[in-house]
Amino acid sequence: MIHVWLPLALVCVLAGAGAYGVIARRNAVLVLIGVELILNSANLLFVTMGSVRGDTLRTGQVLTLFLITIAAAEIGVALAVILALFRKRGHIDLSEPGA
Amino acid sequence: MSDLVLQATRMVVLAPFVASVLGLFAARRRFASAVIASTGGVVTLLAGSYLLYAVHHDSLVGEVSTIGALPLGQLRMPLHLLVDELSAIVVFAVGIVGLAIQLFTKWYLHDDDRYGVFTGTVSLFLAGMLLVVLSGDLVLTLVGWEVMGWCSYLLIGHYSRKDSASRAATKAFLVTRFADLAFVIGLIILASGAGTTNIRDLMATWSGLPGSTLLTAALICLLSGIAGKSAQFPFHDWLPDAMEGPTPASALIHAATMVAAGTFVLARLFPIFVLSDPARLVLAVITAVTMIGAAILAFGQSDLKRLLAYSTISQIAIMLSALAVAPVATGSGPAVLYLLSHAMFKALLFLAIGWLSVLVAGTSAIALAGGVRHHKQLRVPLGIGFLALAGVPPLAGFVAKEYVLAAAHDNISELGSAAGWIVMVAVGMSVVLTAAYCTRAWLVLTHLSAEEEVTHEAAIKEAGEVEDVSIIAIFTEPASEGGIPPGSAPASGSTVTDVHAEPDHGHADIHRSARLSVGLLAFLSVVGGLIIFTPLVQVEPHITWWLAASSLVLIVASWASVRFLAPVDGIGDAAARLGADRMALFDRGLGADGVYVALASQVVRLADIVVVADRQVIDAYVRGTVVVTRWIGVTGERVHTRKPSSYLVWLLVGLLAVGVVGVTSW
Amino acid sequence: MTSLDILFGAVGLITAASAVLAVTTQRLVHAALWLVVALGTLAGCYLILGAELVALVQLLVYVGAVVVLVLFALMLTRAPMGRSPEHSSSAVQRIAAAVIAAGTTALLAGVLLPALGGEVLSAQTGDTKAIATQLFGAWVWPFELLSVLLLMALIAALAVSRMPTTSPTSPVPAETEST
Repeated sequence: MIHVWLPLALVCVLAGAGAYGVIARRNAVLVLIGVELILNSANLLFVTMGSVRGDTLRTGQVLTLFLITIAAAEIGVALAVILALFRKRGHIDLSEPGA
Repeated sequence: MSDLVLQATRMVVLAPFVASVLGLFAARRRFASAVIASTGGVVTLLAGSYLLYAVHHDSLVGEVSTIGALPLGQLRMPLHLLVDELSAIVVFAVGIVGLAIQLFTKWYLHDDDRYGVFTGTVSLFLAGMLLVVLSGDLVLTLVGWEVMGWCSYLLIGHYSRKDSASRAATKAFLVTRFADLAFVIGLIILASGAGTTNIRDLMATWSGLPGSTLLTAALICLLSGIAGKSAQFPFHDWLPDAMEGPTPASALIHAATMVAAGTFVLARLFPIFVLSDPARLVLAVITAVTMIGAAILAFGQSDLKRLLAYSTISQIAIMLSALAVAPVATGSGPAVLYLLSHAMFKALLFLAIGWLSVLVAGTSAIALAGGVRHHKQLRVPLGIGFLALAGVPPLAGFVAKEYVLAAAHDNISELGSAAGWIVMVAVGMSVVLTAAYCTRAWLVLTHLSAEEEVTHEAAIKEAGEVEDVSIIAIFTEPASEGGIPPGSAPASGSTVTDVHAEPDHGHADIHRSARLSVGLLAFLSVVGGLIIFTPLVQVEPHITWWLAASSLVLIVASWASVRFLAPVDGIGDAAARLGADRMALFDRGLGADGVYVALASQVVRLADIVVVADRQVIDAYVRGTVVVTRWIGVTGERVHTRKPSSYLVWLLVGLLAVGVVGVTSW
Repeated sequence: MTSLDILFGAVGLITAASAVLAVTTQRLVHAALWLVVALGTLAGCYLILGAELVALVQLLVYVGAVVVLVLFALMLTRAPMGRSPEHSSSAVQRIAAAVIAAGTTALLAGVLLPALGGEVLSAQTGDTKAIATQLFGAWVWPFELLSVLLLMALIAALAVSRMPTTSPTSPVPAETEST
C-alpha cells in the first residue's frame, strides 16, 4: 500500500531538476545529464501509473522499458555529436556562439 | 484475285523496302549495296510487269489486303492496296525509271563514300512511291507521301558536307511539309465524310453528293499538298534549289516520280474531282500561272540543271492542268499519259546532263557549252530528250501534249468553262516557251566558236580524254573574236558556276549499265507515243489534226526565233540578250526565296517573343520563389544567436508555455 | 503511512537530493557520479513499486551503460577534474533556469497531484512473466522497431564520429555566406 502522491512528487522534483540542469549548465555533457533526469522522471510516472491502473497489456512497465531503450539510443548519438563538436571546436561550451 | 497477283502486289512495295533496309546494313560496302539495289530494282520491275500482264490479260482488278484493317470504331480503315489499269502502268513506269536510276548511280557515284546510303535511300523512296501508286487507302497514300518527302530531304542533302545542299534539303522539306498540312486536312475531310479511308468506297459515297461545299473544301486542301509536292506556285521555289542533290536523285525524284505523285493521286480521285468545279478552276489557274512563269524562268537560267528544274515545274503544271479540264468521259487518261512520257524523257534529260556534267565538271551553261559537240556519244540522248520535251512529233512528248490540248478543247466545246479556256491558252503559250528554252539549251550545248572548230578537229583523235583538253583550250585561247575570252562570262554566271559546280569525279568512262539505262530511257521516249494504241492507258487513240498542226507551227516558229536571236559569240546563249542583271534575277527565281524567308522570319519572330515571355514572365515567377525563399532564409538566420544554451532556454520556455496553456484551458 | 510509504519516502528523498546535486555541483565528474546515485536509487524506487524487471533494466542500461558513456564523454572532452566555476553559466541564466525549473515542477505537481494523488496502489510482485508475455505478444511490433532504432543510432553515432572535422588547434573558419 503506497500512497501515490509520493512517487508523483518525486516525478515533479526530478523533472524540475532536469529542467534546471538543461538550462543552467554550460557544458554539453552536463546538459545531457539534465535530459536524462527528465527522461527518468517520465519513466517513474509510467511505472507508477502502470501499478495504479494495472491492465492486461502491462502498458506502464512495457513503455518504461521502451523509453529506457530510446534514451540509450539517444544518448549514444548525442555523445557522438558532442565528441564531433569537441573535435571541431576544441570545446563544448554551449554558451559560445556557433562557428 | 489469284494468289500470285496478291503476292506480286505486295512484293512490288516490299521489295524496294527490303532492299533499302538491307542496303542500310551494307552501306559501307560498295559492291554489296550496288547488288542489293539493283536486285531490288529488278525484282520490283518483274513484279510490276507481272501485275501489268495480269491486269490486262486476265482482267484482274481488285483490292489486296496488307496488314489487316485497323479497328477504329466508326471509321473503317481496311488498308488495302488497289490494283487496276491505272496503278499497274504507273507501277511499271516507276519500276523502269527506278531501275535505270539505280544502274546509272553505280557509275555516277563511283567514288562517293556515301554511295551505299544513297542507293538505300533511293530504294526506300521507291517503296514510298510505289505505296502511293498501289494504295487503295488514304492512310497508305499518306504514309507513302510522307516517306517520299523524307527521302527527298535525305537525297537532296546527300552532299552533306556542303552547306548549300543542307539548306536546299531543309527548304524542300519545310515547304512541302507546310503544304502537306492542308493535304492531311483534305484527306481527313474525305475520310470522315465517307466514314472509311478506302478509296473506292469513299469515292462511291462522295459521288452521291455532287455539289457539296465540303467536297470542294477537301479537294482544295488536297490541291495545296499536291501543289507543294509538285512544286507548283506558290510552293515552287524548292525544286530549283533541290538540284543541289546528285543528278540521279534529281532524275528520279524531281522529274519522274515524286513530283508526279500529286498528279497520280488526283488521277486516282478523278471521279470525285470532276464533281467540284471550283476546285478544278483553282487547279486550272494555279497550273496556268505556273506553266507560263516557270517556262519563262527556265529560259533565263544560267545553270542548265536549274533550267531542267524549271522545265519540270512547267511540265508538271501541264500534267495537272489536264486533270483540271478533262471532261468526265475523257477521264484521267491524258494526264497519266503525260505523266508516263514526262517520266521517260525528263529522266533521260537529267541523266544525260548528269553524264555530260561529269565529263566537263560543272552544270552551268558556261561549263556545258559545246559539250555535245565534244562528246558525240551524248548527242543522241540529249537530242531525243529535248525533242520530246519540246513536243516534236512523233515522240512521246508530242503525243501526250496533243492529248492535253485535246482535253482542253473538249472541255471548251462540251462544258465551256473558264478552266478550259485558261488551260488552252496557257498550254498553247507553254508550247512556244518550252520550244524556246529547249532550243536555247540545245544551242548552248552544241555551240562551238570558230577557233574551237579548228581545235576540235585537231584533237578529235583523243576521244576518251579530250574533255580536259577542251576546257584548257577554251581558257587559254587569246582573246579574239569568236573564242570565249575568259572574262566575258556574265557576272551572274560565274558566281553560279562556283555554287553549282559538280564535284570532280575524276573519271570519265561510263559503265555499260549506265549507258544501258540512258539508252533504254531514250528508246522509250521515242516509241512511248505508241502506247496510245495499247489498252495500257485509258485514252482513245485519235489525234486532233488541226491542234497537232498548229502546235507544230508554233514549235517551228519558236525554234526559228531563238535560233535567230542566239548570238554567235559567247556560248551561243540566246538568253544573254536579256542582259546580265535580268539573268541574275531569273537565277534567283524572281526572289521567291526571299518571300519564303520573309514569311518564315515572321514565325521566327513570334517564336522569339514566346521565348522572351517564357524566360522573363513565367520563369520570373519561378525565380521569384528562389529570391523570396533566400530572403526568408537570410532574415530568419538573423534571429539565431547560434548559442545552444539560449536555444535550450527557448525550448523549455516554449514547452512550459504549451503545458500551462493546455492545462489551464482544458 | 504504511511501511512501504516510509521506505519509498526515504529512497525517494535520496533520489531527489542526488538529482539536485547532480545539476548544481561545480565539479563536472561529481555531477556524473551523483547521476549514478540518482539513477541507482531510482531503481530502488521501482523495486518498491513492484516493477522488478524495470528496476533491473534500469540498473543495467542506465547505470551500467549510459552513465559510463557520460563519464567517457567527460574524459574525452577534457573536463577539468576539480572545481570549475567557469563552467557555470551566468547568474542571469541560473535564475532563469531556477524559474523555469520551479515552473515545471509546479505545473506537473498541479496536474498530477490533484488528479491522482489520492489513490493508493498495491505493489504486485512477481509480474515479470506476464510482462515478458505482453512484450513479445501485444508489443512485439514496437519492440522490433526499437531494435531498428538502436541499429540506426549505432550507425548514426559511427557516421558522426567519422565525419571529417578540423582539428581543435586550427583557427575557426571564417563565416561564409552559404549559397
